[in-house]
Amino acid sequence: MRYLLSILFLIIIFAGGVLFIIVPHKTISVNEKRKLSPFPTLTFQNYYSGKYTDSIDLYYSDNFLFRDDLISIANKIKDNKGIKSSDIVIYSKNKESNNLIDKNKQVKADILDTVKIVNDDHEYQNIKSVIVYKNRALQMFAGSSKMAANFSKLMGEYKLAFPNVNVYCMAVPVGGDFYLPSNINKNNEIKFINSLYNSLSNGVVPIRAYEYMKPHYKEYLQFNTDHHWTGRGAYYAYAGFCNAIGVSPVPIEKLTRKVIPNFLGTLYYYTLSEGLKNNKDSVEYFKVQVDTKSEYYPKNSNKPIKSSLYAEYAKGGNAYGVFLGGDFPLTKITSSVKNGKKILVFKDSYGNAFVPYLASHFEEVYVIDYRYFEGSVKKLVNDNKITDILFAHNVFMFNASYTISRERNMLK
Amino acid sequence: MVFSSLFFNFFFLPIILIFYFFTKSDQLKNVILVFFSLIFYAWGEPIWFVLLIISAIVDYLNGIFVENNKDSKIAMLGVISTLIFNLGLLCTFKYADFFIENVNFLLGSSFKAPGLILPIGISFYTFQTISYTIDVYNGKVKAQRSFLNFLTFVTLFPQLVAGPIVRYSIIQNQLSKRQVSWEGFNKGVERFCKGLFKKVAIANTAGAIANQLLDKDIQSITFFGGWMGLIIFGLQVYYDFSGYSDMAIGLGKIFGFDFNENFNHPYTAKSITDFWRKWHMSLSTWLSDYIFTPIMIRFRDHRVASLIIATTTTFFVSGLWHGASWNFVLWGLYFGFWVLFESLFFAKILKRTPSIVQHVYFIALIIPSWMLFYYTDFNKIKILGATIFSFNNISADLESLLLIKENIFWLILAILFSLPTFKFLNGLVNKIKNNLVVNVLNTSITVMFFVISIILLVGSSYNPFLYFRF
Repeated sequence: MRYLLSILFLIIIFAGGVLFIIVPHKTISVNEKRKLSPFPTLTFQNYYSGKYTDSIDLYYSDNFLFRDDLISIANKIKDNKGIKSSDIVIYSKNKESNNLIDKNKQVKADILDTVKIVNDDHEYQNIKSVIVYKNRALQMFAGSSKMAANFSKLMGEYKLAFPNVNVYCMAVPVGGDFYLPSNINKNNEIKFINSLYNSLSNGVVPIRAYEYMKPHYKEYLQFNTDHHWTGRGAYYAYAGFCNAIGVSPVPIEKLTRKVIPNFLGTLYYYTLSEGLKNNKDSVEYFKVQVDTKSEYYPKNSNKPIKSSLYAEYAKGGNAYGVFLGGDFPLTKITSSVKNGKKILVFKDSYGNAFVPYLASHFEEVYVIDYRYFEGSVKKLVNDNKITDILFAHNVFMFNASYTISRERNMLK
Repeated sequence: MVFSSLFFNFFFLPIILIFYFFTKSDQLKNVILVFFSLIFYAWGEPIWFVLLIISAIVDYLNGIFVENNKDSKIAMLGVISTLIFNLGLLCTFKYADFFIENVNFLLGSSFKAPGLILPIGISFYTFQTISYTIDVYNGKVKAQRSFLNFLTFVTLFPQLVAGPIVRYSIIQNQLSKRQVSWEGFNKGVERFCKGLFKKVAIANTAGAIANQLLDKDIQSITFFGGWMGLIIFGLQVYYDFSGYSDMAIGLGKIFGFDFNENFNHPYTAKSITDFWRKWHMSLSTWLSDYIFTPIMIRFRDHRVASLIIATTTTFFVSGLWHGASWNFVLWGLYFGFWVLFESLFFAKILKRTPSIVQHVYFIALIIPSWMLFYYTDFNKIKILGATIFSFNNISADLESLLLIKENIFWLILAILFSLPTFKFLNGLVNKIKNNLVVNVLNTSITVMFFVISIILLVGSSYNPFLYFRF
């Protein structure tokens, strides 16, 4: 009895050690959307760099007994370190933990069959801090006017290269201005958008998406648990776009409203906040009335694959994939509208929710995802007699030098 | 490898325990210790573990050489050779880049820095072996004739990578013959679990919070955020380091060794001098024995001058030992200044004040010192320094306030347990005078520490993709 502690300690470490070997291991973590670390193979290179032993440590912790349960207990412990405000919590992750996992190991745990796994270092935005306010997760944005000027310069180069094409610029807010209290975020997004629009070159037309969305901010414009905007948010931006190009938007009542329920997005998995879990999203989308045909070009291939404007089978954590079926280097949409107008859209994944509405006003819509497209925009514009070009990004992407350098390269 | 990993606790430790405790002979036990210690070390240092072995060989031979030539002047050669070798290692691996950067800066030259990566624990084991040879020279210890025993001393994994700096004189007898007992094992487990908890539950959390407060745009740090950040960073350094020492001492006890203590509630100090008697004691006694005292003896005819030279040198070395960068040197000299200030005259005045005044004086000096430890960039130190000392412009940002509020229970406990709260509670428990109850209470608290630490370690393996695809 005197050495009860030693006995208990020995039982724990030996039982843990033996069970680790006996119990079969999982290969994928659904919550984390990644492959769990496998046991590494020993090579000289591996050993020399220290990667071999690191990987064994990682293998051990990734495959530990009752890992999922222990993680949720750990979160409960962490939740009780102090007083949580009922309506606002800030989450920041250590820088180190970002680098622990090999990006190649990402998987879509609940894979949409059309969504490909892409391993590009720059396709990810490294999130600094996420704020959960009244059970809605939002990212803090802070832009620089220098970056805005750089992006304007790039769009000016496009206007110069295609003097007869209309060039539009649409900066999409990410929800902080609309939904965060002013002592945390005071108009950071609109300040940036204004400085971007004020520095636009002659002939580049700003799209006032922000102003068109703002009066409706009490509606469901931004997801609670995901970093994207909703189909409804995109609709108001579309109304702003129509106003700028002088057409009238199709009234929202005339569109077919559909809903995919039970969507838990990326920001939930980032924070694992209970409040978010109880505030699941639903993905609302409004189908256009015109007939469309659409096809996309996968990476490293010139063969188009048939797709549709709405991947209606999307569900669960991938429900946002309903818009265009995900991100592809190039998507071409052909509409039943015959007016000779053809638009090329540069976008990030925010654009996905927006692009479908354009089918009501353009004969052809070309959609370039700035991360993956490797071809020549000059050729694309000239061969297809493009009449309009739209830069549709969220403010984070307008504020990123990577976007600028990618889109400048495409112009070469 | 680190103690605070699942692999260590559930794989490495059980296996070495089996081998160690099913071996009868002390010699074989040493073989097992050396073997596993090398694996432990090579885990994080796959190539440079060779240095450790070479260092052990060099000092083993030097020790014997010095002893064999005890009465002759050439014994000094052994000491010099040890100094050249070990300090050479340190200079090459730890200070070369720093040195070349400074030369380049001063001369405008452009020598290429070698860019070597600092081998784990090199600062600790070189100091250990240097002191061994000097002690042999001074006749304080006898040279170890068995290479196995000497190798056991140098490689002993519990204290290998982060101290305490266990000097040869402390464990010399235990190297050849030691008692392993359930009593020691039990104490060792208790100490180890406490240390693990300090590291995993307190230091790691403190690290995350301190980073959030201090590691952002330096201009945007507010008065409140700055002070809280420095306090929490101070807690992180203490818990990290003393937790590691606890684990080392505990593991030592499990294997039958008694190491020296390394921390004695340093934040209860009543002056900076007092702090250095309680903080990282194995380093400060080392510096005192091999740097401070020899200088004092050399210049003993000039009391004030000797004090100034000895103190400044000691704290300069101490600063540099903590890191090859000017901010660490400044950190060391900062303490040197206050120690000198105290020993020249202020200590006498301070002693006459109530102890609360002494504490306040100490706390007011210690918290800002962590700024010098945290930032390597002097510009940042300047800006944050201006923020936290502008008492006419006291401000707090919402993010820091929220962060502190969200961690307030944790923070109170972390501060309480950096004071001798445990001792106090133990005293209360022991009043029960019922061994069974005391034992059950102790055991359940310790097991709880261990289990919570393991849960948190598993929790920290949660690594979702933080890069969002836009």
